[in-house]
Amino acid sequence: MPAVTPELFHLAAGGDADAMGTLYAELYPEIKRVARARLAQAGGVTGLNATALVHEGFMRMAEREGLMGDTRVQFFAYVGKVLRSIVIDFVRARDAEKRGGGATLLTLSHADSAPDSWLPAVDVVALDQALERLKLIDEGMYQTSELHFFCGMTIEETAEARSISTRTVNREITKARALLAEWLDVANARI
Amino acid sequence: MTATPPTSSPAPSPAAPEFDAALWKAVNTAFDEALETDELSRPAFLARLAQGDPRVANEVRRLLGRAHAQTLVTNVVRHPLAGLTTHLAPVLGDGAEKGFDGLLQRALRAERSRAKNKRHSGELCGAWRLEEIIGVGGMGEVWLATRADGLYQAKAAVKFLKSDVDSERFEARFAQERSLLARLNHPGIARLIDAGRLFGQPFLVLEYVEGSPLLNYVAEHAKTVDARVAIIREIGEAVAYAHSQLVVHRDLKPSNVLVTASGHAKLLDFGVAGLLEKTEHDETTSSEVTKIAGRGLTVEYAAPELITGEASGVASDIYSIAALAYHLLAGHRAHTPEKPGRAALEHAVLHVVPPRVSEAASARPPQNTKDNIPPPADAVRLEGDIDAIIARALRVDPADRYRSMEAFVSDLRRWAERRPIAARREDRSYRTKLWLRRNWLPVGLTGTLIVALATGLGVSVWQYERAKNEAARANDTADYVVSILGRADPDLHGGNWPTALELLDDAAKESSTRFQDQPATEERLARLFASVYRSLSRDTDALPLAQRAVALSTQVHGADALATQQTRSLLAWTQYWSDDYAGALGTMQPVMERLPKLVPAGSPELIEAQLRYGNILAGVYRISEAETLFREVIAQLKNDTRANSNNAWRIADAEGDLAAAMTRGGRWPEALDLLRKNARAYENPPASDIKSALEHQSNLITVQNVLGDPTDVERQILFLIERWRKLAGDKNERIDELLNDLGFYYVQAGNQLAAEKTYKTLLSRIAARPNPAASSRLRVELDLVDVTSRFSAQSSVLVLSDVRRLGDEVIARVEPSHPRFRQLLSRAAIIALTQGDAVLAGRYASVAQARGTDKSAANDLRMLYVLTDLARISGDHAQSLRMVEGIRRSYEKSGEKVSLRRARCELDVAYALLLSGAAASNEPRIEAALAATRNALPQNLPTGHRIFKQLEYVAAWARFGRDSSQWVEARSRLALEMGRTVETFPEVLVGAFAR
Repeated sequence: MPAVTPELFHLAAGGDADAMGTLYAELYPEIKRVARARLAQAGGVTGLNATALVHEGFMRMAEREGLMGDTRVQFFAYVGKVLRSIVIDFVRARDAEKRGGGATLLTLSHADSAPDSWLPAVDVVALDQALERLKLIDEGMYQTSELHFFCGMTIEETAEARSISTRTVNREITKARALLAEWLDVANARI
Repeated sequence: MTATPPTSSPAPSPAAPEFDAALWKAVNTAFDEALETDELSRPAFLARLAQGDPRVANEVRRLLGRAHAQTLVTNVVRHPLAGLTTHLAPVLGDGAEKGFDGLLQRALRAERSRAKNKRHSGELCGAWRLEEIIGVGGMGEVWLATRADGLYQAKAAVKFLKSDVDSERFEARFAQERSLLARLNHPGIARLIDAGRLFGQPFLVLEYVEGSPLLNYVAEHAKTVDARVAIIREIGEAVAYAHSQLVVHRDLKPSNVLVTASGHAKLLDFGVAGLLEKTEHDETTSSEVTKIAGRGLTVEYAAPELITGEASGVASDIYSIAALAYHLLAGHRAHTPEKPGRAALEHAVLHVVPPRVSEAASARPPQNTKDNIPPPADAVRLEGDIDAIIARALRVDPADRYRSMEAFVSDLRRWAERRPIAARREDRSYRTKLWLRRNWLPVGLTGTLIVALATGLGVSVWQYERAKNEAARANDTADYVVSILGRADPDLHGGNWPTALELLDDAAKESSTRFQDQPATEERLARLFASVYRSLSRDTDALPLAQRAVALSTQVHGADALATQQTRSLLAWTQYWSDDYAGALGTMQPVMERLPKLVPAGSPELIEAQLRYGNILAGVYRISEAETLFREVIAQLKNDTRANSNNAWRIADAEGDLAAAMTRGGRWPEALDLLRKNARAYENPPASDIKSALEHQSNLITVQNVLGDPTDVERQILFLIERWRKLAGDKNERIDELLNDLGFYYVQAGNQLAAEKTYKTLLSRIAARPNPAASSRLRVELDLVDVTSRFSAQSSVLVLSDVRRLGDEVIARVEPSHPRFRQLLSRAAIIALTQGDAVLAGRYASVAQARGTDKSAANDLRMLYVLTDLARISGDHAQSLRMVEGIRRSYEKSGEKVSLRRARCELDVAYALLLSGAAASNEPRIEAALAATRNALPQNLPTGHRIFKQLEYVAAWARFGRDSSQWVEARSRLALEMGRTVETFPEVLVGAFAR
């Protein structure tokens, strides 16, 4: 990570638009590269938990770079965001042919921390928009969602990273799901 | 999805109130508290909250409901309830894509291979050069490509498939399906030309179609219901044709249809969805749509059973074409759920009965779809029949839809012809049934209603019966074909997935008994199976089916119907390949009279019939008529300026047929030139014509073999046999022809053991056929006797007794009008001559001359050889000389300068001159004949070839005289070559130069 410094994270976290832009531009290809490499190491076994696997790669990276505290949380939040972008770009490119309604469904579930981390199937792109909305009204809950759903962190890791209790994390995840379900209108009656 | 009750679309939820951070803060705190509160005290808590801030309380109540719902669904997923899981599984994305994880893996992998699989213009894809990207589809890039090997000019579309398609499995599957897909030869279907892999990425080479997207074309050029229905019918006919060839599309949608400048629809991507489908057992949890959508295909026009993962087949195509028709006629898609996203769409497809087309066309178009087109100007005409047709084809349960694409198309045709349709009545009874189901109480009343409906129909009974029969017939055929495909069950086939061929064999065996009392259905099946066997060169299997089909077609459709002409043409062609040329001619002649009145000049159907007729004419040795016909067709093809038609290949193909006709006229060198000219084209045929190309390649090798040029013959024949085996299975009879060529080659090359082995293999293959033709077996048996005779491997007595047995059997069992009659008798006569039995030879020669009526030039030549040698053995050397000089003149006339046969003939002239005495005065003529012999020898003959020893013997006699030491030496070497000794060497050589 050449130009990525803890300062950059602080600036970005403080709302510096330039810093955010730089950070994103620097991290995107790097994260992709690390993620691909990590996946390749695993031999592309289907059914493995890709997110958690990729996450491990970044744990090491964060340790190596000496990222601590808030910076560490920011870093993982970005990793989650980039992984999400990778998926969304992929899905968009793939659905390019479709007109209007066609979309790929996604379920957010991690086998290792099931049953509670579960969200009904939703449209990936719509989910992305809903998450942005979540970020606007509650940054902390957003970070929790990002770390847990998209970065592959367990409840415990998420709690540790955000320096909050696992109980709070659980609560935030419950609320985030309720909010997302409300916005995306994915009641069980629909499925 | 067999019994999904129709339900209405879910009620739209109230618009989500705008959250802002401030509101959330209040809601958040209250929500936290509410979550802490137990179920019992919660209502009181919420009531208190509502007194403070009703808005916050409202939000909290809703969110609690959501949170609760999540828990419930989670429990359902963890403890699957029977019935619910089938609904849930496709949505949950089990199998192909496991949620975010699965997508992330795919995304990262696609990323990796995208970098690897970047294509460039100018790059070669097999024989095709990429020019430019003409589209990026869900499956991958599509390139315009041109033929790169300069064989002919052609454009094609090269479609790359997504790199995460398992390319090896794809290739295996393509190899399986190739012959089926290649058989799709219909003006409404873009042809599949080829397929392959480039750096591991699979691609398809497809006919390049210039045209407008269907929706654009319809919006601009087809503004009436009539015009749109006409296009839908065209699409339906193409699909029906494909179904008759056992291919389903499975991804029919507007973007897969182009309309050409002349206003005709062309379907793209036929059978491609099937190629991409996975077949493993462990994938059964993922529905068809997940599989298909996972490949980037759309679900908008997919049938409900594809969504739920139930068995799909022709019924799914019927649904899709109806969804497409709905779009064209209503101006927008059938399902336009309020909510975006696939879940909503799938829900709608499964549960929502779309409004009738006429209502949809007159209502305000939905605002949430982008591909709306103006409804037809005269949309009022949709009311009634068209409503009923589309509704029936769009039923959720496949069993409620039309049972075949033909039934759907014929209802549209009846509508266009203002005749009563089948769906209308069925539609009413269906709707009545639904109504009954919903209102089961007033039964007495419904009875009255049904009577009213029936009498209100106002259709004559005759017309109704007719419509019903036609629909039923189409249904039976379609059902049967579907049931054949449905038998692809490993448990029924020794644990292996059966090939289409195996399924076909099973089906063909039982079809005649099964449909005994339904001539129309039996006819269609007989025709289908016969044409498949014919295309596999299994003519023994095809012949009885084709004969049955013609008889039934004449009975059902009448002798003048187009269908009967097509069936007759098929029978004639099967007869031709079964060597029944006279029969083929009799079958084909009426077709040539009637067909030009039924189809336009220059149409592919007519050209095909003309080429077949040309071949048949050549088969009965009406060579000049055949040649005229071929040249006409070739000229027509050369003048055809339509862009992108595969004319270069078709010309090469027709010229191949012409070459075959020339060989029958004895014009071997001309034929060789023509075949050699097109040799490269035959090596790179379009996928649909691989078989014809192999025929021409096989012919080339036969011609070369006959002319005695041994270059590469053995390797080439073995290669072609392997190709045929792969293409049409081991049973196909072209392999037998090639084995015959191979045996002949070994005989020529002096390889007695290999020749015997080859002929014995051939004999056992022929004996294994269900009803082997006597002439085929006799030919091989004579070949075997000939080998023993040539190499003196048997005593003369035994050889002669074999020849007598076989020759008598020829007289008894082979039709005298058949070319094999004279061919086999002259062969028997020659063998008898070489063994010194002039009486037997004479008898066969006179029977052949007296009774044989064929006009084969090759047989005329054979007879001349027999007569020459008969004269020689009787001591009439002057007569023998005159005759052999006659043979030489026929070679001069046909321009055959270099060939083993010509060399033998020249040598025979020299020998005849020597035998006729007066060697001194004839010396210049003898020398000239010997020089001509040397000039006629093909290059590449092995030095050990028998002809050199024969030449040495005759030359020694000419130069040094009989009884000279050179003559004695040459004679003993030749005797050894023939498996004899100096003592048993015949005084006068007969039959030695005949073959």
